[in-house]
Amino acid sequence: MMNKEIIRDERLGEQYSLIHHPSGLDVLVWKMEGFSTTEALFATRYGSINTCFKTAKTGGFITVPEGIAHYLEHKLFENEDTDVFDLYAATGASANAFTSFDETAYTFSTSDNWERALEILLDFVQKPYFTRENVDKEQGIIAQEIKMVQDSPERRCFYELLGALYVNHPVKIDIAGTVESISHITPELLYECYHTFYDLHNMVLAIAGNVDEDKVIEICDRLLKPSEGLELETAFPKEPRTVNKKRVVRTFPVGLPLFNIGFKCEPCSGREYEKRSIAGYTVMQLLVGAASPLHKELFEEGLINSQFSFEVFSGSGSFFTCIVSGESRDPDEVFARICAEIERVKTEGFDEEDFEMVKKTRYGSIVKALNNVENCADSMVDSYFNGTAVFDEAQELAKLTIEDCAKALEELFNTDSAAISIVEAEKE
Amino acid sequence: MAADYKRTEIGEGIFLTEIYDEKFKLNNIRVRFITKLDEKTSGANALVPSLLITSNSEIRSRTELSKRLMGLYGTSMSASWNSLGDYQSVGISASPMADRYTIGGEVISTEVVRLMLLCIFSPDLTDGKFNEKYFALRKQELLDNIAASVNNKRAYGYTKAKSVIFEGEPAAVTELKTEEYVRNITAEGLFEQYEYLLKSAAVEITVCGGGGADEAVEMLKNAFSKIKRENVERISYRQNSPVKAEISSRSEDMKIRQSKMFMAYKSGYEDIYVCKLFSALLGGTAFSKLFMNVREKLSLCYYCSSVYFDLKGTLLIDSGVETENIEKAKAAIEEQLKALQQGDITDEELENTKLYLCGSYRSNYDTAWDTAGWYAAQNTRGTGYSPDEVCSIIKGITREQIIECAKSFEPDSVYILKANGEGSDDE
Repeated sequence: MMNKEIIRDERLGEQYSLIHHPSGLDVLVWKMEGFSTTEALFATRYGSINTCFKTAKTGGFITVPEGIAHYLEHKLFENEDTDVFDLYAATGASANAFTSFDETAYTFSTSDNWERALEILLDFVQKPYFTRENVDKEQGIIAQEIKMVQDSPERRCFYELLGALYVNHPVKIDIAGTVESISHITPELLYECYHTFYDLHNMVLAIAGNVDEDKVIEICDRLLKPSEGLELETAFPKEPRTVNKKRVVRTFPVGLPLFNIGFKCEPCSGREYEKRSIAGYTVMQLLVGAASPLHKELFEEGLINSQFSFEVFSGSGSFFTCIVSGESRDPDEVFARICAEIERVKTEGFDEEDFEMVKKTRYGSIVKALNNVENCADSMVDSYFNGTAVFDEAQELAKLTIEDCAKALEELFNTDSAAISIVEAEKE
Repeated sequence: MAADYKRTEIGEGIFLTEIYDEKFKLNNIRVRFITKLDEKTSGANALVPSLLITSNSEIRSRTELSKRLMGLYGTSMSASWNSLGDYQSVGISASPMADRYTIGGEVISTEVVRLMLLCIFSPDLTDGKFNEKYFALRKQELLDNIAASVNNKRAYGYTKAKSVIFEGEPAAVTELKTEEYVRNITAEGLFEQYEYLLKSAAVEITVCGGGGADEAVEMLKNAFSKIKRENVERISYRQNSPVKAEISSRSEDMKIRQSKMFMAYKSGYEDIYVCKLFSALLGGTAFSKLFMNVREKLSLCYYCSSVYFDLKGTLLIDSGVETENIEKAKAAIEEQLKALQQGDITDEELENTKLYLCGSYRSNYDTAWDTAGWYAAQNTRGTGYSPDEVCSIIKGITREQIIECAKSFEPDSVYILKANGEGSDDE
């Protein structure tokens, strides 16, 4: 039996459909008038942090090597009889995939033949083919990817921060794993992970842009293999509220030193997660954004430059951190000033006018983001996995008050739960 | 397709390109100054827009200017500088939300353009010099950016490779070569360069988006048509790079984990779309010869792709490779190029690559930024083709043309950023 919900926002004048397909898969379709491209993601709630899990079939919890979700993503592109890229080649679609900390997605983007591209996507993701030979062959390519990533000082700085903030949580491990950890991956382990996490009840299909909903359903009816659901449970080691280390420094061939400053917070999910993400980001805009007094001070003293930025880095129900990053001659001084500013604002409060200006800014970014096919498809998946809808962000923003920000400042920006990671050139 | 395109000359060497498509909810407004690349002036040219967006004669504080723009639904004004073959393009852009989407129906496009024009034509000056404090900060920031070029190893390798590939030509000027000149820029010297850009550089103004900003466009036209112009630079974008008599091979050691190799080939082949299709067949897709053979079959590189620079008639093959595999990878890449020169192209490969290229061209219709970028590239070619028009050209290219084109490319240079260490160290 097919159930359909329309998710709509009157003020933004946008809507998309959520269809509960009888196979067990939820399908999200957003038709965007006037757009040429079609963007699709077939995604599973499975990323690098899911290394310990159990299902009705496994009995107890089992632990698998770090980097296996990413490895599986690479291997799924190889079918028994053909290479998936060869199939896509005949459609004109550009196909890709990515693995994040808590999600793996297979994507395509095309201006032609989207129906055929969708058939290929649904077919190959449901058809794993792992052999000793093809699994071993991938070791070389993934080891090269790991090495290439290790040459990025930005990425090293980021992972060093996660290692400083988190004591036990697997978010501190590189998504691709290590050359050593991936050497333990076998076809049997890949099948175990595949059958656990690639169950349609744990997945979603999102498609946006130039698309026809009836045709999407017709293709799903033909190609989806119904699944029962597996009572999947994932486990994470207990994570203390305190940080692992307050400060880490690495040397690397870089120009100015790079820094990442993180404030570790308690994880949450659902609407609360949406609310907290908005509040956390707004607080950072008010504290260190381009119009803030601290930003002015740091910029005018030459302590930060245009590379300065901030973000909420989070996975629904699993980890939540507010991160400020950039380049500086003196990262420790930047860290000290941010901590001092947090304490000042906790006492003196935020400026009402600045708060309204920041809300307006955010509204403008949301309107612009919803004018982009790729972003709409991505947002449907992200919000679905969080148990919310794309438009909840705008709705939570409209409700956000200056008091909410003051509360978020207290809850999320605890200087005792903060750490700094620095990457600097070797001293001569 | 949907986009409505118009290009007019509104002053001597000043062009306004307007592209409207009502599905867009914003308008991307860009002003670019185009001038010949020269290591003596390219740093100053890059510094001008970053200083102009910092403050102006009416709003003398960077923070205040940021606040004003944030109040206009988070419109940000940004500075840009990049190279276009032998030329440099520097400028300012902003992307205000279209007026019809503001909450209270307020018009923001005219205010955004007013602020942009203030920044461009009425800078923050004291005694004929740029604001001293911001001048010093932005200059230091530019020097920091030059020093930070080393952070991204692939991009750094590419920058170094360019100076080898285009040795002796303006296109060889990269930020790494300008450091000394940037150090010596004075506030007076910078003001002179700013005046030069207004007076003599070619100017490209683009408004691309949902439209409905006629008054703002009129403001741009009025302001730019009044500039006094002198000795305006005549731009001829396409300057094919001559092939070197002997292949130039250089390498540099760095403490990184993966080597970056750049191989350049050159040709004076006239039809750039045949060259683009040839490059895509060689290494422009996930089913291209380089990807399928050098990466997938032989596992010699993590990435291995090719790109064709039409303004310089140069094909660049860019790969990430383990140091011990450099020679093997080089041989494997040469073999794939040879295969194309010998006509080893199936009908399926050719048709699929055409389909892929056309798809990626048409995807430019879907964001105002990409649409503006598409027509900016068309302007450098003296054409105004839409993505659909270029697709028709691509579809008409024959196998014989590809072979002829592939044969015309000759090896020119190889640059390798060689990994000789283990990367970073612990404290």
